Amino acid sequence: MSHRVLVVDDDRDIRDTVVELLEDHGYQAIGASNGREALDVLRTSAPPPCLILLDLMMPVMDGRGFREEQLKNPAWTEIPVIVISAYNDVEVQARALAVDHLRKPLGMRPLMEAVKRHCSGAKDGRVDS
Amino acid sequence: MTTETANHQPLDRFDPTGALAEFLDHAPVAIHSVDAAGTILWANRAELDLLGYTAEEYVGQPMVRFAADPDVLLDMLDRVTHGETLRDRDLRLRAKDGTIRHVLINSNMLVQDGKQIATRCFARDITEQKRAERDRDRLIADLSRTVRLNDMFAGIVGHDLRGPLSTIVMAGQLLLGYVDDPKGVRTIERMLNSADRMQGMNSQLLDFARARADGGIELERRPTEVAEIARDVIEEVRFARPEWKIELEIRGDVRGEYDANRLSQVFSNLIGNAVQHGSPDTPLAIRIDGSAPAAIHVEVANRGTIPPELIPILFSPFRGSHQKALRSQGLGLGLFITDHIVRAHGGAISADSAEGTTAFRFHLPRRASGEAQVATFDAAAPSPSAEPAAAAGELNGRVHGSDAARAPDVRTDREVTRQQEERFQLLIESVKDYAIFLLDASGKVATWNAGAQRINGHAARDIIGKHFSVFYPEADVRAGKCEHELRVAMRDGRSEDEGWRLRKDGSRFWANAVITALRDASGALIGYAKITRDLTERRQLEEERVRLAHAQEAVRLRDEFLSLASHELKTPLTVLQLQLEALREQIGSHDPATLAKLDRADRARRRLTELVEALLDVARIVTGQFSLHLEQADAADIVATAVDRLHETAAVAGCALSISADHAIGTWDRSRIDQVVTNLVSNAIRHAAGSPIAVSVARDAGDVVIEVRDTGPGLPEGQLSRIFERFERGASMRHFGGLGLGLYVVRQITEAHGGTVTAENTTGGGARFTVRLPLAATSPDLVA
Repeated sequence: MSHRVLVVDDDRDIRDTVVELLEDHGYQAIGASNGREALDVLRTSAPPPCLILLDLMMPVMDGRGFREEQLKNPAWTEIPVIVISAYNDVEVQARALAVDHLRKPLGMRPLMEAVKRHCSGAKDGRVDS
Repeated sequence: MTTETANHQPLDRFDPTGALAEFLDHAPVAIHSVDAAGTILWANRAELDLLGYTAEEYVGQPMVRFAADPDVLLDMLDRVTHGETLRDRDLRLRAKDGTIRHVLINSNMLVQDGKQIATRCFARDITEQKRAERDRDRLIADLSRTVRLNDMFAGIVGHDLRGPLSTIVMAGQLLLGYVDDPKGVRTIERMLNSADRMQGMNSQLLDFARARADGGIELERRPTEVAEIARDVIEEVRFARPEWKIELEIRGDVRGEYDANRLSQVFSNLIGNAVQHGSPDTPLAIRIDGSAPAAIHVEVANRGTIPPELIPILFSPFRGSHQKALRSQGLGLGLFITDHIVRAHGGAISADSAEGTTAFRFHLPRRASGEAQVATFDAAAPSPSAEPAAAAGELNGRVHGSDAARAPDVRTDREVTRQQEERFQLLIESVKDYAIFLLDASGKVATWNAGAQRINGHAARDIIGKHFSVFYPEADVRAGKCEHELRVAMRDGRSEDEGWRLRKDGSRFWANAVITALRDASGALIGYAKITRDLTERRQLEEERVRLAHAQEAVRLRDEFLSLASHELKTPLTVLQLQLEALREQIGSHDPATLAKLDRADRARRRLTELVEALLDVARIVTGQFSLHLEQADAADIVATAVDRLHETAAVAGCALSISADHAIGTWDRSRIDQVVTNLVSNAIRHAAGSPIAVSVARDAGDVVIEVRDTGPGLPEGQLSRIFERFERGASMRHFGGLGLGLYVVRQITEAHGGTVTAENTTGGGARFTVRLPLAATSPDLVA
């Protein structure tokens, strides 16, 4: 497992906040503002992320479209995805995409616990403390 | 029908014993006659069909047997016996299948040679109309209630969100003074930015509520220079988005009496909209033209195209499926509010998108002229029958004498039975709901009755002898509709049509017309009988139904909007929460003053979350998206978890919170029942601060009973029945925060589980809320 997390959200505030928090906790985090950008990140960077945090409603390519593309590439299918959304049916949507979910508004603890479950310890060891 | 008509255009060869009897029997009016004792002597097919009886079952029976209100019928018979003529009297008849038919009765006594012969009676079936009216009334009441509640709701949300948001902004600003390192500063700034975004959405919600309220947006008009306002807004945008090039062109005198703040909002929304959807590569052009004396014209144009199907809904707050396409961030209310402000100033705004350029244009009259335009829900429809009513009244006075009106002056067969003569006489005399008249074989009007005058507006002397095409709109006449109808009647015996007809004054009415061919004994065509019903009212009812359906759709979209609003609010809320937590980590736990500010901001954040959740809950309930995720669970366990979480809050409020719980395994939505307990206990903490609160869970046969008791001031008696309604609060709004939605949500959840919730005051003082839930939820779906 790596400690790279891909954060896909069109809301810049959310994206920057989550990326920064993850970095503060010793992860390497990469932001993408839609599904298309996220696919570009997957194509161009190695190693693959240990986790993808995915918003559902985004312009250009939404979360569902991203997930479909992700599953087409055998190299990416194993990367776990957690959907983060404010929609009340996020649970149903996440189930349809065969992924986990977190609900907005979101606190740091559930976010970090979820990341910890999927990713190995970070460089400075803070995540394992 | 007047004596005058009886002498015109005799249908010489008309044989009433054959064709007339048939015509009466098939007339689309329910007719019967009863004798002095109230026994039914005769009834036509329409009457039998109306009630579902055969002639054998009906004729010969006492009429009172079929009355749903026998007293009313007996009273009617009594009045008619005493010479009274009944007009449009309500009566309920019982049909064979047990259903009740609402009819309007017209009746009087047939007197011949000074002797009472029979009571003749026309019954007009208005059951459907009554039902439609009832449905409509109920619908209107429901709609107006929903609209009122929703608008109020948006208003309350706006007000209630403002408090905690201000707290966060203040705490954040204070914290900036305590934090030195750039990262901490950035965190706080991001936090403040989130609060700002929420404030923005919130003021949109408030404006939305205001725009919907009766008074609309209030304006403070003062002499205002429009160019100055535009310049200020452009400056702000340039500061925030320096990459944008904005051109401003002023022509003529651009002063007028306007609300400067509101105009600033208009420019801000339009420019903001262009910036949000456009690209900074091409300039944004604003032209303000004051060369006209009465109004100032403004155009805001930039490159970019709006799809044509979106243009008509740009200024609507509820765009349904288009909402996602139109919004990028925020509630998408900006243009709705802009439109409202422009209209409140007496102006109008439009959008135009072609050849790669989108332009918003509006004009503002320089001075207020009378009332601001307010869109209204009901368009008053003219009453179609109001005018001819007076004329009909005049005629009615003349038609009741025994020989005032006979059948058209045909050379009657002396053998005609008296009963048939009586029926026909009755039919044409008293009917005013139907235009009943005869046409000769060429289609010229031969007779005329009171109903015809009432509906068509023509007096008998004006119309007799004229071709019946005068009743048809010109296009129909040109298309040969009249000839066609006569041809069909001649061929098939009758023709029926529904369509627009003309009154004497040229106005239109929606008519159902039946033309029956009349033939002599040898079968030769001698003319036609025509019965026309004015269905304008029914058509209006149908149109109204359609309008109501549209209004209902609008309400549904509005509820969808509430759901979207709460969703949108959650994004900045998430940022806020994460940043607050990050700040706490960064600052460490050393400085109590800083921590106190963080705590305050976090409490406000929690309060915001609760409000937004409540908003979402209500939106879900009213849009019917509220569903239960049922699982096996122990009620004692659920209640204990919820109570446990509230211990701290209760302690702060000085409430000792105790629980006694029996195990009760059942099928429930765990998180929803948790919400019920949380809402009830929070409610008790708010209203009975300083006094003990006891929560209990007990099995009772197939149910579990959850009780929350406090020893506070209790509930005001007058409000006990309303306390579970949306927006009802036991105490004044100023005293306690919250949306007043908690108890409403409690009831919805409880009922969704097939249970009940009640509230009462206990004898020892204080309030008791009792939730009773079946161990197996019986109703998995919630009906709002």
